[in-house]
Amino acid sequence: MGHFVELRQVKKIYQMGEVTIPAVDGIDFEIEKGEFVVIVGPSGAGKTTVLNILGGMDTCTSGEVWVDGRDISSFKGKALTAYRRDDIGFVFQFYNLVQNLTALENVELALQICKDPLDAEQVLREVGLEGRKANFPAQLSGGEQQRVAIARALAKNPKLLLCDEPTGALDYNTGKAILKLLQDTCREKGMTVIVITHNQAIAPMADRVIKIKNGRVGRMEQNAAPVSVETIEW
Amino acid sequence: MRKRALKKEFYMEIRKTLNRFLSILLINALGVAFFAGVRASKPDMRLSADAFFDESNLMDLRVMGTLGMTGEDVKAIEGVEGVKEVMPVYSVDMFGQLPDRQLNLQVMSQPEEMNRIHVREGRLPEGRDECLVDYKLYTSGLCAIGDEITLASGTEDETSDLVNQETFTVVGAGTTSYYMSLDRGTTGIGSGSLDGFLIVRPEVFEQDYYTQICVTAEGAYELTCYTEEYDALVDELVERIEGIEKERCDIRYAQIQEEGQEKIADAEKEVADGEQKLKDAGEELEDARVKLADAEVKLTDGEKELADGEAEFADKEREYLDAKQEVADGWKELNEAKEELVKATIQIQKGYAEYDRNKAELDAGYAQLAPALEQLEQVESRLSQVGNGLTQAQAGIEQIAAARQRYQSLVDKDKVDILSPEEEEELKALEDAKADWDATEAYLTQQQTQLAPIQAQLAEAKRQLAPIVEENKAKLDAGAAALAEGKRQLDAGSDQVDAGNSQAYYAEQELLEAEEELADGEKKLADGREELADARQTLEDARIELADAKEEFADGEAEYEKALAENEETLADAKVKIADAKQELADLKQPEWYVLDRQYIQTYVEYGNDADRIGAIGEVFPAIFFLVAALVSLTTMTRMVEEQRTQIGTLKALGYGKGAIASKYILYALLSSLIGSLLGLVAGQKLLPAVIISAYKILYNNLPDTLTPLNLEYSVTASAVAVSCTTLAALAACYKELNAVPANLMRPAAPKSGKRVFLEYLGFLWRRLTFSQKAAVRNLVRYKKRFFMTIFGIGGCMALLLVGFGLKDSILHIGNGQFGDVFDYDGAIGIDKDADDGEREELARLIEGDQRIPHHMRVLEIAVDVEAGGAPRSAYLIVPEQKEELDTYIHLQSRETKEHYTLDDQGIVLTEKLAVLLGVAEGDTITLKEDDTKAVEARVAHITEQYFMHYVYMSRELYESLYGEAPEWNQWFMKNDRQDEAFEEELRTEYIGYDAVSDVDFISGTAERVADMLKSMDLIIYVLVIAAGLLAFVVLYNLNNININERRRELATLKVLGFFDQEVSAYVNRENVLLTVIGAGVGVGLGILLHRFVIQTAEIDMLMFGRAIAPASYLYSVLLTFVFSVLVNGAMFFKLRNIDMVESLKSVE
Repeated sequence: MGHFVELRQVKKIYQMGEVTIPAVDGIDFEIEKGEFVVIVGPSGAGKTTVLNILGGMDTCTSGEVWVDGRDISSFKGKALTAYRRDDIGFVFQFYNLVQNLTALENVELALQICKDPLDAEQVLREVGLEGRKANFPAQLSGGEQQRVAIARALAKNPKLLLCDEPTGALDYNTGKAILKLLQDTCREKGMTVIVITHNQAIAPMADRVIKIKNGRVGRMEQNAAPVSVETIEW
Repeated sequence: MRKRALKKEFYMEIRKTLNRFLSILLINALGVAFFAGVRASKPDMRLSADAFFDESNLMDLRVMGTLGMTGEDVKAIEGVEGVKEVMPVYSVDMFGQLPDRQLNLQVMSQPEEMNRIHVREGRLPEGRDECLVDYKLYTSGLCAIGDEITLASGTEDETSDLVNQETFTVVGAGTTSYYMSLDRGTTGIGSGSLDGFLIVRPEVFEQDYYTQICVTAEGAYELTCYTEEYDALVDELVERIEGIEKERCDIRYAQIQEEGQEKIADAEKEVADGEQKLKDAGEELEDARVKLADAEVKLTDGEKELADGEAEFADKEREYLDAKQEVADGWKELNEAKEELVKATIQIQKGYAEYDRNKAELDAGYAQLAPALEQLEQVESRLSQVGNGLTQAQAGIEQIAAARQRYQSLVDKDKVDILSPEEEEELKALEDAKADWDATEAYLTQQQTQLAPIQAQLAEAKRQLAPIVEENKAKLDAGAAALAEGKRQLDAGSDQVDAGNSQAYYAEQELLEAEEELADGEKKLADGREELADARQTLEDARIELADAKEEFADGEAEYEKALAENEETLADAKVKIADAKQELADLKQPEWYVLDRQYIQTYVEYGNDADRIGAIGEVFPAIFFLVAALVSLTTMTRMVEEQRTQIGTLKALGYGKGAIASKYILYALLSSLIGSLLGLVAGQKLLPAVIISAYKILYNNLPDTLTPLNLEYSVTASAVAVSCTTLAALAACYKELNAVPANLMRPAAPKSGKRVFLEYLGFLWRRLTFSQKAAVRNLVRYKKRFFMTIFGIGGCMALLLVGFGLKDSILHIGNGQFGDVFDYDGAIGIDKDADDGEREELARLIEGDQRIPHHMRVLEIAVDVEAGGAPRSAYLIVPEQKEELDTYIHLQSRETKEHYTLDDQGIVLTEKLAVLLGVAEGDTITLKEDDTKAVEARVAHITEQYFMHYVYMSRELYESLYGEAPEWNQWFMKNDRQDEAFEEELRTEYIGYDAVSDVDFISGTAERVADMLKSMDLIIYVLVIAAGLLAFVVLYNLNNININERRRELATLKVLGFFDQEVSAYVNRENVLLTVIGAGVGVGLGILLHRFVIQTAEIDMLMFGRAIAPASYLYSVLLTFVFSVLVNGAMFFKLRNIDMVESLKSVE
């Protein structure tokens, strides 16, 4: 159990009447603390399911999910919510900001429930939005909104930062900037960041790349010398 | 919808969004149900009552005359145009005596064609001694079938003058449509309130005139009562009947006069008879007195006679005792004599024995002597024979010598004288015998010679023999003589004994006879004693009888005296009465008719008023419901269209026409609202009126059936409005979207951006809010439509609740305010208008001396019409004896400021509702009309608080100056030291007995009646509360549903962020709580306005509801609103929990 995150034979099987559809069919991988991990795979490979399970948003049908020494696969209900609240920071593809709250307030929203939160304004400054903190999401660009989302996730001071296609809704440059922010966060704060993407191109920037195919880990490779995102083109 | 795919999609849409479909359906159903249901209640109430009235053929009007109605009146009314049927009725209020209770009963003749009795138990009376009782009495257990009720007159009339049968057996129990409620009205007997009615056969009644004539109107049966058409029809008939009133009353008057005169004549005769009778009785008494004196004399005589008898008896008794002693002595003597006789007898017997012995010796001696004696005797006998022969021969010779001498004498005579024939015959016989004389002589001389020797011989023999015999014989004869002497002595002794014995026997016989006589005497004595005793008894009896007779006489005399006195009084009374009757007859007013339609049936009117009240409520409430329902439908449909923006875009892009696309939403709205409306109108019109009427049935318990037909008008309008509201909402929502280009529609709608709310500019306040509160405030402001919808929904609910509770408060305030704040007196004693001054003064003395009535004051209370330019209003004018004291009984005060008013001599005080109805304010002038002739104008000085009926207060001085006469007091206001029912009943029973008292009324009775009248409102209030609750629930649920659906993504995100379920619902609920608070606040304002509107609409002219809502009602309303809100939020919790976090990952559609 030396690994920070470890998945063992994790399966998620949907029972649709007579038909059994395995979304995830026995996944094993491990991640070390402070790594920048990219999970790649085509649509429908099961990577989102993995993310959901890892993020405590869904439970696996069988297998073990170890995060920082705890098997979260056995968590249910409140424990799972507590896990989400204390250990996980989540960045959505579509930012999922509360439209009715300003940038700062959106960050504060997450802080409301945390045990050991960071200062909201500080975090916003860190993601480069100091000047826009009083703006409503509608008044921000996509990149800015995603920065707010990242700030919201980071402010919780999570153990694990999970990002679901964080650049999916962004243009190329903005996407790059966001990835840079994530990479920097990982590097500077020693945050374990897991990015899910279908974009193979960004794999080189990761410390660890996990390729998922048809619900199984196709290949997992560690990248001894990850490159900076600026150098990647796609 | 020719397009199959679209059609399919439509059905799928309904299936998928069944919740929404149902919620539109439900809200429409609710709205329509409430609208149509409450509105239909009024006509349904009328219809139910009408059916009841028609079934029992309730009279449309009745005619009563001040002097009763006659058979001719019946015929006359029957002849009036428009009269369908008539039924004369006897009715009299009497006491009904049950074993343990006395009831005030309205005894009515059994109705036939009209006012039919609905028999609930048993049967109708068939015999004269049978009756049917009020079902109310039956159900309350006061009497059962088989019980006996004895009627007694409650007035000064004799029971036998009213009915000819006093005891009735209960054979049934029933109801009449004349009494729909439990209240039986008032009566002039006993406690003043009727306990129930009693139906008996008409022939039981003794009156010679009918109490009233019931009439049904031609064509009224077909009309529904309470409607204008019905009222108009009956009014017309009333007028026509009043048209014959004059003529009939004249006839009746003449008739009464005639009857009266006859009666007076009869009465006078009776008085004369009475006097004669009294006189006769006096005479009879005098006779009795004489008879009594005679009897006394007789008794004295009898007593004397008895004393004599007793003395006589005593003598007789003494005599008897002497005789008895004598007999006893006699017996003693007799017994001694008998003893001696026995001794003598024994001696004599001894003597005889000796004698016998001596005799035998003597006899032997004689026997020895006998032969000698015999010889001697023979000698002697021969001697005698010879002597005889010699004598005979001598005699014969002398006879011949005599015969010869005679012959010679006769022959000598013949020679000288002529012989007599006899001597000739004798001579001849002698001549014949002469020849024999010589021979015979010769023979006889021979005989003599022969016999002479023999005689000598014999004489010798005898001389020899005779001494011997003589000696022996002398000896013997001496013995015999001695013996004979002894025997003679013995015989004498024996004779003596015999004589003694015989004497003793006779003496004994005599004694026995004496004893017998004594016994007889004793018996006679006993008889005498008995007789005496009898006589004494008889005398005693006679004495007692006399005493009795005397007593009787004394009694009779006393009675006579009394009767005399009494009769004199009675006769005097009778004379006075006759005089009175004459006076009365002279004073007799022209009779009047009262033609009373159903408006004079208390329960009929009350029921009608209740129906009107419900109608008034129906005017307002359903509208709110409808508004809310329409708004909810609008929101829901708008949301639906918004949700389906992309689909609309797609269809548009595919080339579907606007109509085809819109038709889905319109149909959706149409279908759901139409089904909802249909359900609602059926359920509402069947359920709500039934509930409301059944609430009223508590009061109108006789109403048998509830008719709840579907009302076309309400059904159509309600459905049309509901359906069109929803459908137009859908159309409006579609319209906006349909006009957009498909490309636009394909893109997700720009999310509503957050905005700063005005609160944020108030930094000091904004900063104080917690983060969550800030978020909540922003959210509220962001979803404005939802905000207003929810506020309106909750506000509406709150308002309905408040109106419900407030209505109850207002109604309660009629009682509490009227009888707590305004009327402070406990009751009033009505003074009989016919009472004379003496009776009035006596009553005044009684009341003033009554410890139980510490406060009392005379007032004048009369009905007046009050006018101020418009229509006149009926009110009561109250004039107190002392204006300063009125405040003890009635508080004149402003309702709002509670400022106290006092009566002055300048103006009158008007009650509030009256002032409102008349449209007058303080300072205005109004006209008071008592009848058509008396009218005065007065200035309104103040307007006073009043909730029940209208009053005008006027000081005595003002009255005198306005009317120019002193008020004739007709009431005593009282304030008692106790208010309990028993006390009031006691007081009532006591005072109603006085001639000067017409009625005794207590406020508690009125208060109770008012409370009863309005009790049924309770259930209606519950209906309102339940309706409000349903409304609140549906609205809140619907809006929350929309809210959650709209914010699904946001909520899922929160969940991903690690919000606990509770925190998520708190996040949403915080907004809801805020909305509820604001809604409740709005609701209070809305409720107050609505309440005011409702009470002004619902209150009838006679009443003024309280205007204020009690604090508790606010509290209940708020609490209930929160309860509903919490319930909805609770239901939402599960919905929130089920939100899938994966939603947060999806792209915005």
